[in-house]
Amino acid sequence: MAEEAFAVPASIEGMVDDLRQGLLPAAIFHDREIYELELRRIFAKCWVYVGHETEIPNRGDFVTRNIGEDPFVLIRDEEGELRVLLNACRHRGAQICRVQAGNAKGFVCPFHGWAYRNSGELIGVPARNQGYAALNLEDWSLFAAPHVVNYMGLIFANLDREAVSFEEYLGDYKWYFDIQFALSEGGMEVLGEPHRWLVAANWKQGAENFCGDSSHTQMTHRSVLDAGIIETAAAGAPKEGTGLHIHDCSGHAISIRQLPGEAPFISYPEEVTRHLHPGVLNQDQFDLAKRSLLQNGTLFPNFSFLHIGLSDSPQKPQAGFLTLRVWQPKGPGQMEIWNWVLAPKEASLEYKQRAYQVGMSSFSPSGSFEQDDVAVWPGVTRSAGTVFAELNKVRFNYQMGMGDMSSSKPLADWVGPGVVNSTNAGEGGLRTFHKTWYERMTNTKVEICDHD
Amino acid sequence: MTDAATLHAGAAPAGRLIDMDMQRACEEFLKQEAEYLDDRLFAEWFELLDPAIIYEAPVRTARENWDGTGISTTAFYLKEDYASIEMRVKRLRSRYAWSESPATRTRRIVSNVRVTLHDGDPSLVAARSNLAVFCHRGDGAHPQILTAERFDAIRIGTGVSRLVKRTAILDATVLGLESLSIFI
Repeated sequence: MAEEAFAVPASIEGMVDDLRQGLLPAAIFHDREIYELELRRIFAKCWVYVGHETEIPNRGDFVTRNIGEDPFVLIRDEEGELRVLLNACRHRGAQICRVQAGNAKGFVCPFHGWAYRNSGELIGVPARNQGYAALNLEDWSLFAAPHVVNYMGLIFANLDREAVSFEEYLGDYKWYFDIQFALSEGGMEVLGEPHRWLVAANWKQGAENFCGDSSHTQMTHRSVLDAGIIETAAAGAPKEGTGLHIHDCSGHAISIRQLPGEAPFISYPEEVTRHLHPGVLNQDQFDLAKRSLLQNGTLFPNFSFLHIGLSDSPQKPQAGFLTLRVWQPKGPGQMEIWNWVLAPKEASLEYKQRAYQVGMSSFSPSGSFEQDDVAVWPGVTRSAGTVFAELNKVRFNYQMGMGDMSSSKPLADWVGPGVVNSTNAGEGGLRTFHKTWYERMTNTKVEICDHD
Repeated sequence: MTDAATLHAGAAPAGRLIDMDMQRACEEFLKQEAEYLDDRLFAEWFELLDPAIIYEAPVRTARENWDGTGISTTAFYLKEDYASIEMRVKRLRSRYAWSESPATRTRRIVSNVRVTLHDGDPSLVAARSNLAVFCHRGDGAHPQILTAERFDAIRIGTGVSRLVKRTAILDATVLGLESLSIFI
């Protein structure tokens, strides 16, 4: 990064040394100044997920989404182009769209009636001849995200004109990312409107968790082991050989559980796996998918995925699905979680319904897994907000698996990119997330080679 | 998109009201159910469910008034059958079910119960009711309040009645509760 470094807020001064030791200042989960800077330095500059093309298949289809806390309309215009329009009239700023989804050829502002095409162009101003005779309509289109990309059906936007391309942002992480979305020729399909719910925790809590926090599963999610809907192979103790923690991969991280020598294929049944082919993936990527029980990761900053097979009852077989989520910031101490369930497009309607049911039953506001995550996370935000933490500069411990903490060394002969640990008894992925966070917050490069 | 007509498909046309005994039996059933849930007597509550139960709470979104109800036909907070509810009840028995440990203290207010003959199945009645659930968690001073309208199909029997189908339409588009760990 050639540009000048940003001013470092007092609460994270010395954070590079902390990161080197695997420590994290509690303040980052609570501090208002940090949060305001995140909106500007991270959400206004990174590639942020806004939706999936299968949510808006027809011209005029739209959904309302957020980048940081700013409201946008994601719409497919009359030419079929995807637009990410700021939901604010250019006249006096009223919201031109006040619903969550629909189909529209355009929007008429409810305040004074300025009218826009669904591409964002201003086409009408009431009483124009009397009061706005010299207004050049072309200058007053709705503001739009300068960069929008459709990557394998996923729509990301970037508000920074100077932003690097999405492909460059993804970097080597593409190798793992693509596995989630390109297993079948048709790609993945969103199976319904998103779940949205409020949790009194900082947005980074969910984002870091999906980077590879395998050791929380046994404790946070012990109730689902008791309920008999997951096998210990998928949720059991961190173990050499089955769990892979891949971190420092172009600033992103992923966690994979595999069964070497077997082909669980994310618990997709044969009726689905017959549609899965390497296609744009290479054989190594495809073989890894085949060996995988689950894969979960976060594309910095707040887009996560979990590709897994579960069930809603011990009496019913497991079904594979993909859940996507956005950890939407809503202030330093609150986030709104957005959750979508997806399945391969080629799967039968019956299978998609089953995949939805299982996905909802495990990861959603009523999810038997997720309920317990969000019961625990608010405690972190509360601790981070204590005066005690502030006065004592409390730092949390993210040292698991680091240096002398573990005898396990990264794999030297792994087929994919990133630093790969063959045990999931580590927090390298979470450290990666926070290094990337610090780099973005300060516009500096953190040279810490994390070999777990 | 589900429209009101579809939701009411189980209900007989207006005017075909049932007799007051049936109305009372239905109300008693719903009150008993609320009591079991508020008292966390999940095994007793589970006994009220028909093994063929379909139990759904769809997601809804705010739409333009001319664009349907916004009640999803594909996305749900709950989309349950007998076996999946049994799993949820079993999970709640685990001492590690953190979302309900310590438990949400709930107070269910069931009202506006409207009972009609069920169009499709003469052995059932269609009950439409309003529900408000006050949820207190931990040491929070203020409750989260969930409101919903429920469309139920109930088999009223002598001594034993069973819930056969429920569609609970929540009024929220964004849930204010951190988790939906209660039955509605």
